[in-house]
Amino acid sequence: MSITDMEYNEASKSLQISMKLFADDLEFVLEKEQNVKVFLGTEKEHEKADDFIKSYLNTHFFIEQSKGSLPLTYVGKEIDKDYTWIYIEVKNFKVKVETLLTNSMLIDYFKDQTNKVNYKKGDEVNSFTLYNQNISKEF
Amino acid sequence: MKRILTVILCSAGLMAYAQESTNKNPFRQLKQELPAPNSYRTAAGFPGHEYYQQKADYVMNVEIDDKKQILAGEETVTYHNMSPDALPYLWVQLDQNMRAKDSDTKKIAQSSIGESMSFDNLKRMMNDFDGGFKLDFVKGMDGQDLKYTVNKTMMRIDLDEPLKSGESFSFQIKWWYNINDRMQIGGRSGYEYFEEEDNYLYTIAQFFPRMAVYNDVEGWQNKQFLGRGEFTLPFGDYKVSITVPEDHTIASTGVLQNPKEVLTAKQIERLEKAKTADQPILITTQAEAEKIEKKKATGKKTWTYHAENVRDFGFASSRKFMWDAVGVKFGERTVMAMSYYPKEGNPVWEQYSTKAVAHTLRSYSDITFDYPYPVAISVNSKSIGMEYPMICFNYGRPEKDGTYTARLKYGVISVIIHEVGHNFFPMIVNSDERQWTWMDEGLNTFCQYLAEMEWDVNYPSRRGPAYKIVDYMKGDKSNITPIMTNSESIFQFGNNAYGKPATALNILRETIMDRELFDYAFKQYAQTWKFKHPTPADFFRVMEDASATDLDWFWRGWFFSTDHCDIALNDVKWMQISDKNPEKQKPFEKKIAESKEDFVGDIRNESNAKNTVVERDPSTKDFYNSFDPYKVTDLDKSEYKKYYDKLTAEEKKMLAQKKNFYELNFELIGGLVMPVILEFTFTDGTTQKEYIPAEIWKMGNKTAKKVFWFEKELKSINLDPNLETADVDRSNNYWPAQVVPSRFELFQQKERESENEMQKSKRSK
Ligand SMILES: [Zn+2]
Repeated sequence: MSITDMEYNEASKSLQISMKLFADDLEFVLEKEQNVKVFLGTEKEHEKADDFIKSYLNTHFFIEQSKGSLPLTYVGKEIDKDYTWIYIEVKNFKVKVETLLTNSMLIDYFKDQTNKVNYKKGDEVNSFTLYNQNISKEF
Repeated sequence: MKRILTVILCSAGLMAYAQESTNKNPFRQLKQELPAPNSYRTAAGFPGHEYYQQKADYVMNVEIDDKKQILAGEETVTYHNMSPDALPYLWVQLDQNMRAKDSDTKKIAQSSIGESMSFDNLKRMMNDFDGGFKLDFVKGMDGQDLKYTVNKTMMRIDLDEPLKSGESFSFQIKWWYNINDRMQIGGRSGYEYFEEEDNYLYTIAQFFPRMAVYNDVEGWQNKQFLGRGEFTLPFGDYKVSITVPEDHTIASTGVLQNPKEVLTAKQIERLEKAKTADQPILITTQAEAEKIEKKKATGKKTWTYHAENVRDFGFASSRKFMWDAVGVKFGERTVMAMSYYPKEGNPVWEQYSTKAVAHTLRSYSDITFDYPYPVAISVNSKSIGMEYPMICFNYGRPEKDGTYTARLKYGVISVIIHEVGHNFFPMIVNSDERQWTWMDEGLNTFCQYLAEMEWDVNYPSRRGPAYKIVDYMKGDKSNITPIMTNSESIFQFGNNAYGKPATALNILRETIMDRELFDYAFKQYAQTWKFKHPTPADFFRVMEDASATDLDWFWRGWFFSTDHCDIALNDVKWMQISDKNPEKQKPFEKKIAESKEDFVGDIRNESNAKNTVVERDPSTKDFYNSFDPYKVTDLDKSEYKKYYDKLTAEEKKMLAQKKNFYELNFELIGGLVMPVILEFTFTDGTTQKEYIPAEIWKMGNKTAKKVFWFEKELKSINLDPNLETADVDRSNNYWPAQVVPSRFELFQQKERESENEMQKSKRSK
């Protein structure tokens, strides 16, 4: 299971996203995709590890408004024991516009994978779970 | 359209009414959910005076064909009917049939094709492996064929005469099957192929037709094996002879009966030395193993093992094995902790495996019972962790250059603790895994957490602490099932059957019961059901019976529901005792009146004061226009004196104390009731903890108030400060309210403040 927390930040007019994935699972997928050892979060970490994550994100995580994908800014990652956290920012996000989110992270390799998303807007939290047969959600 | 809507509304109204009239109190007893106690199982959770269990003994000869990867065997089963019932037929489990071409496992496995699919996944989905048992014969001891019927993974043997209570029945089965390639099509057992030197490593289990359990709870436990719900088997004694290529080393359940025929004199001598050594001793060194794996012998060797009072049998065989061992003392008895691994497992395995085995035996024995078997073995096997009596197969392979990550190291130690730990649950405390995965995985994961904490207090345990289950418990409820769900129907297997029950037990031990009460009850359960077949109700009942703690609310919330815990600290009122002295009371009241917020209309009207009737026409004024309610009069003073003089000395002392009273208002937002744990921080910086048992919610109430008093003044309150209750929303746990910064913001702050470790190390080059 992965957990993605998305929160609209009024001050920066941006959508701030933190995504929590099992470190082993993400590493496994990056290695399969790139065919090299990645060693996430170790001294031996592949120097392009962040690029690998970006390119995987670019094909598995989309936020669309008005029929166009919004550009994602990869802010960074953090590795904390079992989990890898990925931080993404979507600038010029419009809160009131209908949004389509697609999150198929890891699903191509782990068919049991579920991706939970919490979208926080003020006090309101909208939660939903995406999985193999259902990778997108409109909100 | 409109009419339909009305009808739906009506029935919805009726339903709501029906629901209201049933007891929804979270503290109601579990009488309906648990089976009625009887003479087989008591209300205290112990075996009753008529408790029985069946026994199945096996004598087997098996052989590995290393050229064709075939396992063939012949077995004699003696089944003892200890039940009071006559049995017209016997059920035998054929687990290998799960890999048959037409198995239900394949049919019901959901498959789908995403935008891309890996070759491994494709191979798995499309595999046309010819698996499953091929039965040569099923015969009675007189050599006559027995009538039998195979229903997928179950085989029924029909008896001429019902097997009476107290009688035994022996029969023979001859069988063979193609061993599966674990790396291609998966599986708990099978072989791994090493291309480099063309060698095989076999981990063999569920390899023979095994008797199903018959008991007072399920009758025959002949629920089909679909792959997930593992096994329950009757206890029995095994005599097994295994024939393999003569240069193979075998690791097996049981005690080797013919060491002189299969081991070298040097190995026997080293084994003897290992019994009393304080560090593991290599029985086969890496150099020796590497020499053996390069050649292929042509002869065969037969290894004979005996095992008593076990519920299953497994073994591993390869010419690649190194082997080390060390003795673990239990009183006068020495248990051999041993590991078998190919060079690919090193350097991690030589350093850690056997030590992890020995540590597990000691740690688990402390909280349950002394490990009763003569050996405990860990075998290195790529990608899996799987347990059988006395032996388990565990993953963990470092990089080719011998380096490895900290995650791999802890992964190896954890999987070994976990799988060796399964000897206790369910190999000895023999719960029914086909029905309830949590009874062995949950209890074992809980003990694993304790063993990890004893390995290293900073051990990166994946499961155990309450806060680690929060993400799962606050998740989408349509994707969560209660712990009390059959093994095959569980969503999120790891969280449901391993993580949540382990966390629940940890919470019972640390927060609800306390260590002493919990440990006694848990040990009682383990010792009572050792070498027997417990059910969930037996576990729930012993834990209560041995501790005088009503835990029905806890089992109901954590095991029978998917509710989560969210308790909020909504409001705090601060009060001080008034001693009614008007000289203090009236100025205080005045201060309060003045500090009240003004209504907007009053503020605006203030400017119009000069134009009001009373100001323009002073004759409209009387006593009340100049009366000051906050002025202290002589009457006030004399009445106070009268009141004060009547007070007793003790009452006067109470008044003299300057106590601060705080009324705290709690709300139970989540459905799960839990204790309310508070940390008070005072203005002088000191802190104090308070624990309110979960029974504060016993009326089914959703809100609760509680008053606390202190000499000192409070600065802040933190609800669940040590993250004990798995409260899913901590933003409502503080007074005064605290804004919890999001993870994203914290990360940005950190980025701004400093460079990360990798940037630092790059800069230092
Ligand atoms: Zn397990």
